[in-house]
Amino acid sequence: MRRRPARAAALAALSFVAVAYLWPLGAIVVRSLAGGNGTGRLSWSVITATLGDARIGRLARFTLIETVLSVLGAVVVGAPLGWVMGRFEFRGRRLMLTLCIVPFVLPTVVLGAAVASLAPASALGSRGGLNLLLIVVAHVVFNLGIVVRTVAAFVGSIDPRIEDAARSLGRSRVGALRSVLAPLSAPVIASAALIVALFSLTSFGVIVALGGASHGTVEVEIWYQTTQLLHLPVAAVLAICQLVVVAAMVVTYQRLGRRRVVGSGGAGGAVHTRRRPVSAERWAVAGSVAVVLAVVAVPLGALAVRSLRLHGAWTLDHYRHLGSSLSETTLGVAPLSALSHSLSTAALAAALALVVALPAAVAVTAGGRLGRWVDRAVMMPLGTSAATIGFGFLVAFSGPLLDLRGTWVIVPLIQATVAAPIVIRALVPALRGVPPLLIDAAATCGAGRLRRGIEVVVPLVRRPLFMASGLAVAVSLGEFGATSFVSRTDAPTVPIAIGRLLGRPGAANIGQAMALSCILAALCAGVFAVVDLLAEGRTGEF
Amino acid sequence: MNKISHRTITACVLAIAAVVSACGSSGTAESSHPTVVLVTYSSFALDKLVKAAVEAEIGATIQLRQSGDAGEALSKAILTSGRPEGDVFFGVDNTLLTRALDANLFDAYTPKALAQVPAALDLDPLHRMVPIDSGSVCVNYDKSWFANKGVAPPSSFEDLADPRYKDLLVVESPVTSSPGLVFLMATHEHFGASAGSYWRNLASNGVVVTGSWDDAWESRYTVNGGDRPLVVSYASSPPAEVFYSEGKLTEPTSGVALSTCARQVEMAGVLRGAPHPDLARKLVEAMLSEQWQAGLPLTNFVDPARRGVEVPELYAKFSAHPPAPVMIAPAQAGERRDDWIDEWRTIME
Repeated sequence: MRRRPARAAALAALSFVAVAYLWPLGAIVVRSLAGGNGTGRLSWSVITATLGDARIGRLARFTLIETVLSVLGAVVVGAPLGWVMGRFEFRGRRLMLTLCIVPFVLPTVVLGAAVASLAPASALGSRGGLNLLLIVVAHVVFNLGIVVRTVAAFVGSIDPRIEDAARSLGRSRVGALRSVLAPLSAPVIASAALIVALFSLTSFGVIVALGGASHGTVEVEIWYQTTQLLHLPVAAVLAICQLVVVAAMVVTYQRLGRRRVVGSGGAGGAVHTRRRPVSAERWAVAGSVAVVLAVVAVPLGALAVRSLRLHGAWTLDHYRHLGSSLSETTLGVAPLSALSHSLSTAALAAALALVVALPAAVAVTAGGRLGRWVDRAVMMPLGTSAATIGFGFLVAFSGPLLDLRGTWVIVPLIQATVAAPIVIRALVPALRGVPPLLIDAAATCGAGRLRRGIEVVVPLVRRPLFMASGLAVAVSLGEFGATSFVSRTDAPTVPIAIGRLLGRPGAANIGQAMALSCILAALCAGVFAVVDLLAEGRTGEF
Repeated sequence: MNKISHRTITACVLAIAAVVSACGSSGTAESSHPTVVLVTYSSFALDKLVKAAVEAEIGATIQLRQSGDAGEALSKAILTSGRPEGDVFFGVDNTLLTRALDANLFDAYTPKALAQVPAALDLDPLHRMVPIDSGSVCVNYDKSWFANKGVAPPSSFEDLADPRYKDLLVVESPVTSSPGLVFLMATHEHFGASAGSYWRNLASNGVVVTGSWDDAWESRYTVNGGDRPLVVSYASSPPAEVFYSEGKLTEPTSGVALSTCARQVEMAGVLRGAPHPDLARKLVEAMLSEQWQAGLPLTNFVDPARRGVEVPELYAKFSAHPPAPVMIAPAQAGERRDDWIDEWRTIME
């Protein structure tokens, strides 16, 4: 069914992308064209020299390899888990779903440290393939929740009677899986794989923690060229190459998505699709729980253990001393203050992300060429180097006309730019499930466009909206990369505070960093638990 | 049919407005009282009592604007040259000095207290930047590991490449780590043209490279459960170990190989185009005052630049005092830095 392109909504979404993303990016490119102050000038020779450099070639190859392996790992592990969580009802299902996504919101610095602490020390820094393995493992831990929750939500919306029909026609249990579930969920898995690919491509904290000297990626190189050498032209060339790869990924994903078959049930599916496992399926459930515990709970457990130990003894000292004046000196502020500041910033960023994502999702759902371009435009920030975005913000928003540096608006703005794409991925399928006939019926009753939106569409997608807001809050809470570049006043967010604690010697500082990470993880788990309760039954892609 | 009432919408809008205004007001609460902004790197710590005392003295609130490491903070300052983020910049060290001066970031100012600072630390004769503190990047060793093995710990750069100490050293990458960069430059000062072959020897002697200091210290150093008893760290890491051990340690577990030390001098300067130049000058003067300098050892683990400042006993006792640290000449460091890092990457990656 053709819908009218939602021009106003698309305009709103594109203006945000233009202001918060294209302008900073353009500022960096313009600055590199102008040169000056030892940054060098962007010229054809710089471009060819950068692209032809053997080391850059090695980095690009390594980046692509680790991205592909991370995506494969996350999908191979996550898709079957998602199927089990979406199809079967069992005790602890919601706990497992919440547990999966918690690593996603931890700062990658902490996650890298947790994975590093689990690996035998001699495995790190070796020249062999073990670094790559550790990086892939860390990425799988980080991204597992996205794949599992996406697939689980989708499977939950498929009418189980399709599968039953296949069984009654003679297919075995596994055969029904292959011929019904697999083709239906392929595009959904592709969309989750896209997010995993984008995160792995631009991963920084994990690479620095686990990669050592010999395993850098393009992202680390961009950071190095931008922040340490201030070679803006080289950084700009690399960032644009990264963008081209990201654009190719998004376009591929869009092509796959066009052939998508939406699960039956219309607006989210009122059919209760989950059932208790029988006989052999119980083993599948048990196995899935074991895998989730192994992949997710083990690193998180290592974190928790480290936060409770001091020089070989168990203690609660790290938690107790988080509020002490000593730790306050290191952090610059009391940890509770950092927590409350993080929460208020995240709430603001989430609100902003929602304000941007709603019209964007509407535009994408409306389809057509405009919708596809909005989709591509909004996904771009997720695939851009944090250093580029951060420095771009600095250059763009420090001019005589508009100086946002150090203001309260700049951190939520940068966090919203990163959170908005994820929120959109959550909203689009829900919006697609709203029958357009309902909207048209409201139109015939005399409701204008806005009223139709507020009184018809929003109530129908209320739960996915909650889910998406929760996700946005969680992403903003854990955002470290871009936020760390934008100077703050005396109020650090929790991930930055954790980074500060980690950078000091002494068992107390490390223990407190781990303790603060555990508190952050618990906070995010709480947010997701609440969101899951509210969003039960009708979920978007997440 | 589910209807979102207008009351709910109004409530949501009011809630968002409340959050927005709360954040806004917290950001501009200090706008009436004079403020001076100190721009520095993210791991800089300022003792609360020192801050309060200095604020009372200069009659303005000190606001810290911190991000990244020293290199990143400097790059940001260069990008905003002439329209700086704050009034005073602190964190340029001798390896970054020429970059900072070439970018014409600072207005010259000679604080009166500079007379109390040894001339050897005063690296900029024009006083665009003045020294605030100094420290050393040295190889630390695990005392008990070496005692158990009955092996004397290495005492020089050459020792590190000796087969006796094979597979024992972890260094940080100069690309992503500041102590790693200082160590690299120290090897070039010490060995001159044959630094390249020294690093090749280190590589064949099984050196491990980590991305950052915390990875090396937390994950690879034997004191913290790793497998390498030699790590590139600071001369002040031993007292920091004791200070942050929650009373469990009375003696440091690490020793310092004094001949591998390289001096790092950190400097501050008044930013050109600063919004409050008078307050900026007062702050730089205050940074060389007794109270600020006395607070440095146990918050940032560096030696005060000012002569005769009383240093806490713990720090004086356990911090290493290299008699002849390698002095990295700023001019050469500035010119050759990129080449040296490139060469290092070719050898090590």
